[in-house]
Amino acid sequence: MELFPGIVRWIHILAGLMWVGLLYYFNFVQGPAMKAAQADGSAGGISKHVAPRALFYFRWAALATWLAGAALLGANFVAAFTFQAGFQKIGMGAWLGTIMLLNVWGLIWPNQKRILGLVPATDEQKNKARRVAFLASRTNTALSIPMLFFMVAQSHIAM
Amino acid sequence: VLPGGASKDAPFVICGCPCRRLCPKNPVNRSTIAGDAGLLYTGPRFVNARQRQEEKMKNPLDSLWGTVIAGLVLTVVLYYVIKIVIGG
Repeated sequence: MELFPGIVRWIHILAGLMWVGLLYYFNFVQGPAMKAAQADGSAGGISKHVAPRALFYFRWAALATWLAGAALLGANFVAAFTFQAGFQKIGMGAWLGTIMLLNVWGLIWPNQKRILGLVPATDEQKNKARRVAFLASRTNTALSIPMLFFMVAQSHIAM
Repeated sequence: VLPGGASKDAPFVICGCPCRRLCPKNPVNRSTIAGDAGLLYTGPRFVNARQRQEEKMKNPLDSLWGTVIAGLVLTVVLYYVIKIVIGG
């Protein structure tokens, strides 16, 4: 294995672990914990100190994962995204990952900025932002399941 | 008395047109609407059976298990889609 593709793959996996790990943290841990914390009035600490840091690594890990994945595809980038012969499985994984990245930067992060007060918003706008960010995050959680399947399937699952 | 037999002060006067909401355009009284098969009175408005069903349906993404199951179902569906594309 050549050094460059190996290192890019390593970065792709490292960043992907951080991205999807934080995605699962938000959905499986922080979301339910926030409900309990709001009930006893201790949610402020999570919103102020935990969520912004987690979101920072989350969104940049998402971008790093995608860029490393695109670099790995290299000359086969178009072949993967157009489902050319031999690239259908990785193409599906790449499309799902791309949709997830767009969700992160186009829906989750802009709405989280309103929720966390990083940009001014009325209570009504914050409530709407919560719902949109929540559904986008849950959509990404659901999409991550087939995305990881097809990423693995390219080399390890015969179809 | 409004068209449809309802008094102006009747509490359950709603629109007789397909919108089925409080509306001054074409009001009819509750008994007229109740006689219309499939319509239910749910507080401030009447809804038909389909609307009622939609209100009962929940978004699977609202629960963690629903999300995971949706992801698994999508995996199976896409597996067969790709299998067909590959021609396997």
